[in-house]
Formats: sequence, structure tokens, C-alpha cells
Amino acid sequence: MDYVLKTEGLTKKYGKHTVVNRVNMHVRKGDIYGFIGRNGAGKTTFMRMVSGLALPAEGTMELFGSQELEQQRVRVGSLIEQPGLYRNMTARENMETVRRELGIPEKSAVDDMLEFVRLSGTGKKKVKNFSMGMKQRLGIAIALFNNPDFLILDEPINGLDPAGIKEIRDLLLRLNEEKQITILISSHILGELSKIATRYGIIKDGVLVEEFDKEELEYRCRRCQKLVVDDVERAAAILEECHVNSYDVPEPGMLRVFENLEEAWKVNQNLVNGGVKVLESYRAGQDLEGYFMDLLGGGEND
Amino acid sequence: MINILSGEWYKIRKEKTFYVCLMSVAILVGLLYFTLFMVDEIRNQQPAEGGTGIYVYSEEELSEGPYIYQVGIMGVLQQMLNGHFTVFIMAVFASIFVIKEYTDGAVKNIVGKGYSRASVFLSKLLITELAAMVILGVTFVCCILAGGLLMGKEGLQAMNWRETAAYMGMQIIISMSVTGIAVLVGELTRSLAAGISISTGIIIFSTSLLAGADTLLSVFSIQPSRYWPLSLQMECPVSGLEQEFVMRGIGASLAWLFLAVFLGIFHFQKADVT
Repeated sequence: MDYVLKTEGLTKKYGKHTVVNRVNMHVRKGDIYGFIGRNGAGKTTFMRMVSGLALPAEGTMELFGSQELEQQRVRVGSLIEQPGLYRNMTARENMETVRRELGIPEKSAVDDMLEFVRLSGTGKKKVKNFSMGMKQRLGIAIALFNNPDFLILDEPINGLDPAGIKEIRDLLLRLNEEKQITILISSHILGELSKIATRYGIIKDGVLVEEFDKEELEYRCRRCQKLVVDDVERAAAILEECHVNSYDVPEPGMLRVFENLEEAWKVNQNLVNGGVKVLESYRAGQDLEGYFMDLLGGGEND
Repeated sequence: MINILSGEWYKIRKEKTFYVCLMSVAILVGLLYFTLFMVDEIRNQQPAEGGTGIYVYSEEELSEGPYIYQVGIMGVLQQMLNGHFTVFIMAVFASIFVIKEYTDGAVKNIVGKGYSRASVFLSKLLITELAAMVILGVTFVCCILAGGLLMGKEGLQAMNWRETAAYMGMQIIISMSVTGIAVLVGELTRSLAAGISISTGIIIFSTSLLAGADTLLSVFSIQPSRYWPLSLQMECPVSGLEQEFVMRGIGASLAWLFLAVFLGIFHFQKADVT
């Protein structure tokens, strides 16, 4: 497997407090990896370690299959929390600073990149007068300046209005499709994340609880008829007799039926006629947000 | 590292604070001359004539010509440099320039981009030193220009250029170590309020504290102030520099500068960038 990022037991501690705890993350080439977790779960700290802004206490990391991180990070662009911008400079001046620092010889690269993120018309407007969306786009432009193969974005759509969110979403999809840039992105706006992510990682209290693909999420969240019955084995046999084969048993006493949802009453009738007590029967189905809340315990606060 | 230096130099050129500091130095030099002229005028009783009730007694025995001639251009330069006016502005600038990288978050754009952290810190330090030297140079030029303008040819002729060059050379070396310390404070604190307060606090109070320490430690024949850049800057003579002072000044300044570089790099390598 071609991994852009692979971590093994990556850990970060502040004093005695473990913020990131033995995280094994696998980001494949071409993925848009949605990194999900509550505030303080360790997402930003993890991303900082990957970007080289924070040093891990334990564990190893591979970027593009290599442990020569300093060399490989040239291929990484990142936007962690707020974009690093000089408030008293214009967008062009900010980009020019980064162009010089990164040693990009073509002066036209500045204008090209500003054009790419649609900031070429900002002229002499100082960054301090930019809207949140403009700042985010400029931050993304800086992250993209060295033509990275891997982009790390921490909450890039935070505080944006719907139009701004859509702009960033479209930009990321464009980068992924046109330039084949692998993206690791964290966001609290799970509905948005589910529109672009191809793979997910869920972190809770510094521990990476789960990693799964978009297809797996769709499978886990797909619409179904949930049945709570007194005899699961008998109920399963009846379903098979009625040619209902797409079902599973997620927990004792419960069945999930994924087909013939329009005729759910027939399933109930067949089970009752077959001598099974149907204690509960209802339709269910989740989106990413619902799945995430179920997984992490939605009612709890930080 | 050349790339980072180029970026840093671009930032300096675009940094408003830098120009404000240069202007502040020029204004301070102007104010110093203005103050001296006021003293001169007062000594000549001019403000008292038809003034607002202030009467200044003339001290004939001291008035051997205008007071400003007794001070001279080198005297003004000495006030600016030995009196820590210029170094104060240099330290404030160094703090702002270094700490803004953290408060604006722009340091994230360069850390982890294939450059070693040591080279990132060194580039920042080098460009800050360069800017500090420009501030020092502007002080010198302003003193000369304003002196020439206000005192005429006589004022300039009274200067010993060789001794002036030696004096400025010593001031440059000492100022480099003070700037290095300000950069280190900025790196350690990463907060504008704390960084500026600590740096200016060091400039204002350290010489007095060390003078006190000299007295306390005199029984052991130890004088720490002899090796402290700000004390050296204060006692640096405008003429008649002795070899012992030059050697001690250069040695102590370089030692403090290297210490600041070493500690700065060490901290920058170990500390997380937030």
C-alpha cells in the first residue's frame, strides 16, 4: 500500500498529560482523510507533529514511505489553526515573503497562486482588513505554494459563511482531483466533511478510535429496519426463508434489515407468523454526524 | 539559509516598526540637540528676558561661549549610545520583530519546510542584528548631520574621526550582543508584552543592579559589571580607548552573543511552535 503518512504509536505529552496517545494513522495516496474528534481530543497536536511544529514524545512517523522527515516535509503544505499571515502586509506581500523563504525562483508564481485562490483582485488591501474566508484562502495559498503532494488542513472552514465553505470545499476537491494532492483535514462541520472525505479517522481523548473508508461509513450508516426480537436465530431463519438476505446482527437481540425497507410491515408479519416476538421495529439510518455522536457518546461534554 | 535571509530582509523592508524606530532615533537626536540648545539659551539668559516669570541667573564663570560647543557632536553621540537611548529602541525593535513571528503565526510557514530550526533562528538573528546596525548607523548619521547643521563647520572640525571610528566600532560590537540578548528574550517569551517589558527592564535596571553587585562582591574582588555589555556600553569612552577595555569589551560582547545564539537555537529546537 502506498502511504503518504503512516504513524506508529505517535504520542505527545505535556507534563504528565498525554494529549496524543499511541496513534497509528494511515493516510493513503490520493485520500481526503477526514480527521474527526471533539475539541481537545488531540487533532491539532497530532497535525502539528506531522507538520514538524511539535516534537513527539514517542512513536515513529513515515512521510511518503521515508523516515527522513525533514527532507520529506518539503512536499507537505500545512494550515494549522489560524493561517500565519502578516496583518500589515497585502496578500501579495505575504506571498512574496513565502516565495523568497521557500526559494521559488519564478516571481510570477505569486500572481499565479493568488489567481488560483481567487485573491488576485485584493490589490493594496492589507490582510488585517480581509474577511475570514479571504484569510483562509490566503493561508491555503501559502500551504500550496511549494506544490505539496500532501496537504494538512486544521479546521480550514471554521468561521466561514456557507458561500466561503463551498468555495473551500470546491477548492479542495479541485486540488485532489486535478493535482492529485492527498489531504488530511480536520473539521467540526461533519456534514461538509462527509461531502469530500474518502477516508476517516476518529480520535477520542488522544486515542485514534477508528479508521475507515467512505464506503465503510456508508455501509455502517445505511438506512435499515431495526428489529428487537426475543429469538434472533429463529428470526434470521425466517428472514432467509422469505429471501431477505441483507441483514446483520449488530448486538444480541437485535437485527438490522437492509432490503425491502418499503415493505417493512411484511417482515414484521412474517416474524410474528413464525412465532417470533417483535419487541421493537423501526427504521434507522445515520449520517456522519449521527455516527460520530453514537461512537463518541453524543451527550457528553468535554 | 540564503532563502530565509532573503525572506527576512523583505520582511524588514516591509516592517512599519522598523521605520518608526528609525524615525524615533532621529527624533531623539533632534530632541537631544534641542535640549542642549535650550540649556545654552537659558545659560545666556535669553528666555528670562520678557519671559514668563522664570529668571535664570547667569553664571559668567561657566559661559565661555555657548554651552553646546562644550558638549560637541561626540558628546551628543555619547549621550545617545552610552545613555542607552539607541539600544533601547534597538531592543524594542528586536523584540517586536522576533515575537511578531509567533503572534502572527508566520513562523509556521517556514518551520518544517526542509530547513533546520537552527538556520531559521540564525536567519532571524542575523537580520535583526543587521536592522539594529542600521538603527545605530542612523543615530550616527543624524548626530553628524544635525551637529553639522546646528554647530557649523567648527562642530565637525572638532571631531577626531579616527577616534570616532574606534568608538563606533566598539558600540557596534557591544550593541550586537545586546540585540542578541533581546532576540533571545523574544524567543523565550514569545509574547509581545513580556518580551518588550523584560528587554527594556534589562536595559533600564541591569547596570544599576550590577553596580550594586560590584559593591557587594568587592570583598572577593569580583566586578560582574565589567563583563556586562550594557555596563561596557555605558563606560565606553569617545576618545582614548584603551587596549584593555577594547579586549574586554570585544571578549565579553562576543561571549554574550554566542550565549544568546546557543540558548536561542537550543530553545527553538526543543520548543513546539504553536
